[in-house]
Amino acid sequence: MQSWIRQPGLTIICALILVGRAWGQFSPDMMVVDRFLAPDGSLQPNITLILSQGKIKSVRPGKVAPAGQVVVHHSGAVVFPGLIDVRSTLGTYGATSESALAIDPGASAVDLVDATHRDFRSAVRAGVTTVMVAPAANNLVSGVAVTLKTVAIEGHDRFLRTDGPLMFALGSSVWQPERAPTSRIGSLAMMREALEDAQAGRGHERLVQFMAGRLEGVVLCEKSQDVSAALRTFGGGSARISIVHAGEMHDLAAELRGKRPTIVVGPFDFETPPGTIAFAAALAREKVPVVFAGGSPGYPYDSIRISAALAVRYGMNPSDARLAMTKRPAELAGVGDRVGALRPGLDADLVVFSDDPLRLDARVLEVYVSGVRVFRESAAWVENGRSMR
Amino acid sequence: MEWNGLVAAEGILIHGRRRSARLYYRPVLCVLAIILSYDAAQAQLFERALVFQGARLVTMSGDPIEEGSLIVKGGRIKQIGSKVDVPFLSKTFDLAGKTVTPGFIDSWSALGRLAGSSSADPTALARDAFDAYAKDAFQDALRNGLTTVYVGTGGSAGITGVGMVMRLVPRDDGAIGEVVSNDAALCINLDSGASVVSRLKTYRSVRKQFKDAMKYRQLLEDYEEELKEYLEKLEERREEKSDSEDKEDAKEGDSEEDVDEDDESTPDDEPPPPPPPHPDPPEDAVDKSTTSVIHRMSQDESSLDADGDDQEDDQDKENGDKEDGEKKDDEDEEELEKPTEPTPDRKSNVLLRAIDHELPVRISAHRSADIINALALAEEFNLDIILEGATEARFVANQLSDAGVPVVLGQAVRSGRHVDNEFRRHVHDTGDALSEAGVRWTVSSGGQSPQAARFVGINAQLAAAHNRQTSDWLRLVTTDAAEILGLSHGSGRLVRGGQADFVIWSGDPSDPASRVEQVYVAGKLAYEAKNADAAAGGGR
Repeated sequence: MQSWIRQPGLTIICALILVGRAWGQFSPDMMVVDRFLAPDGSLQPNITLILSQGKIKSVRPGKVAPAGQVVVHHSGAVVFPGLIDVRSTLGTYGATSESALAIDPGASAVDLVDATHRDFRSAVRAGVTTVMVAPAANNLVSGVAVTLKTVAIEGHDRFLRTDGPLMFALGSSVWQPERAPTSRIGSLAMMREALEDAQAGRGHERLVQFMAGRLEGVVLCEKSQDVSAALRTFGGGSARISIVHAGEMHDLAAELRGKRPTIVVGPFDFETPPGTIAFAAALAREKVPVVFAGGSPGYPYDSIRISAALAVRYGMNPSDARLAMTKRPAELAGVGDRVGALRPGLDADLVVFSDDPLRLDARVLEVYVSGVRVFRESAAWVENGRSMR
Repeated sequence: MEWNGLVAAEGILIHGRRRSARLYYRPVLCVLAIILSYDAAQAQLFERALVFQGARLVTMSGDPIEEGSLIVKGGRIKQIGSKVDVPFLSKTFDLAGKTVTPGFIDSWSALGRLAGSSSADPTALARDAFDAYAKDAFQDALRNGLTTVYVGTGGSAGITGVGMVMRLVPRDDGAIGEVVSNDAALCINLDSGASVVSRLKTYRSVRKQFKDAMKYRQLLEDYEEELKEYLEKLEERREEKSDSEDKEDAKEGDSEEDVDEDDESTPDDEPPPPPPPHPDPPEDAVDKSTTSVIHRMSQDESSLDADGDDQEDDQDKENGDKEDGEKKDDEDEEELEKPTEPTPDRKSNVLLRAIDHELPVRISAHRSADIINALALAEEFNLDIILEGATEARFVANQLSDAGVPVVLGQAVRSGRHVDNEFRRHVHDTGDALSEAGVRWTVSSGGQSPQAARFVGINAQLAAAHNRQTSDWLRLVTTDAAEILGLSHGSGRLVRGGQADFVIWSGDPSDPASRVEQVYVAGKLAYEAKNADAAAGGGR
């Protein structure tokens, strides 16, 4: 952030950068940054990332002497894996699930997404590089989600995953007057029946896979009662589930303690009751993995960070909060081997923040997807900002 | 020390009582007065000074003071600095490693406003919709560093009443809140939903109300002049025909009955005046306040005799308006007409205070077209306006700058797609465009949601993140907000003699992991983190 390049050979590097830009895509070979997100969620100083072909090739401690195209950030800049929104509806319009079928495991959200929608650009500017989009939660089984990057980079597949996880829903949005189920009791009866069939090898292949533990599920719950029902209905076997629940569920802390499915909370906004925010912190203290939902574009694109900052203010450990924006959502979407951490072999989806992203006065300075810079706060902005300080 | 004081005071009282019982009546009163003022006196005289030592003091008035001390007494900051004289018998707190900032000010808030209390009447008071017992909400606000709020009336369209400024001072009865100003500003809302027509209607009705207020002022002035003339003539006549007192009285009686006649349309005994309908006062005004007219009349009647003239004048000034039984009847050329007093118009009186610069005007407007209307209104009636919301202010930043209008922005982030009409063009860096144009601005919780008020500090951080000119978010919600609200110099700052409203943080307030440990408002402990809360802090 300070003067961009203070190393010897400044002119040459600048020239190289300019040339790189002139070619259209700037993809550095190396990034030298003051702080970075360590695997345990803490911020550690001085890191050099070596990038190659859109991947993180290696992560070296300290500031290595630059070679090739290098980006150097000083002054407290923090490099983070790209943020991941697991509750996005970016690029979708209108009805995004069947209204006639209550159990529709064949549906796939990849058919929903208009990947060229301009809202994706706003997400990029907020540092969100990966989103998971699911069909609307109007059915007991609404199909599989799709996980994609917010920017298409030439030569790299934008879609990280198109076949999962399998999305379930409980709660009033599932009860439709024109088809069964029409009630909570009915929906649980139907759900159990479908799952028992699948256990016995009958029914849709995806449900069978789910019951066998080969396809993970995500259950959208409305009230804490639905969360209880989910634990009761899906638990016990080899099925793996995560739970999405934005409301308060203090009373469930004990129930969750043994099972520890990932819980998706949020997005929190300025009107979220304090108890709900504090609950996220309570979960993390129970070592339950927590993920912050972003809800873009219905919620502000900064929602993931705002949710995390609020949770920290209401008692969450900052390290847990940082992982809940990156690693945990990547694992929930089943793409933890591609994104969500600064680890050799993962995609070079990086966000450079001016400070710890939990601080809401920190800015997004640069965003890289597959090693290509896709957003940069204008140079004029940075200079101007500095001159005022 | 407190006890010593109490005992001493008690001794004085007892002594005083005995003497008074034995001797005079007046000393009894004195003692009563002392007893009545006892609480206040005790608070002032025998309160121990609180000394906070070793903290980083972010004073917002010069550089922060490292390891500074703060001495508080009587709700004020007595001393502040790196070296202070610790008073005898003071209570000392060690705040090593902590940071102290002024309490935050939400300059457009709905904190404590009861649901469903919107109004559309200039005489409505935000104070009346304030719930001083919403304890949880206040605790949560204090927990996030908020100590002062401006709360408007929350009406949906038009002139909606008068807002207030409230400090979250803990009260002895367990409630919270001390009104700083009951008439902080006249609230106008020019946002009225989606339809263009309704917006035009709102603006027109606001403008009409101001015009009516001006007319009303004209009426009052005319009336005063006429009354003066009338009284002079009356006096002359009295001198001329000092023997015709009886006639005068009779005439007064007539005029009253005429008025009754207007209202009830039952012509009475009076032969002379087939009353020609009214002169000056606007008809609707008369209609609205017929009852008060009658009431007024009877008062006038009783006070109209020769020696009552002065009183009546005073009354006029007091009430600022009047309606009376003025008769334009030319029953007799020799008879004098008593001028009609304009109908009392409390709504216009409120607006006139705004026109006279006694009351700032807060106009809520989001779209650029509405903002331009707001500026036009300010120019036409020479109002001191403050703009609220101003989502599209960046389009009209230069006009705002020329007019010298400060802006209170709403929440710093809005949703992407599913936003209301008003916020469709919301961008994060509105403040930046305003700074560039030289417009004074601050950020707030947006004045609509009581729950959102607590996060005014977070809004300021978000706003600052997107502004190259304002890297200091604390300033936005302390000094800047205090200035725009017109609070005294000692607000939003930690300065000697200033208000003792401050927040003790466990660390840097920008770091979300920092906790608010204690909040003092008016020198009283308003919030203290529970142990569980503190334990929840956790590591990095």
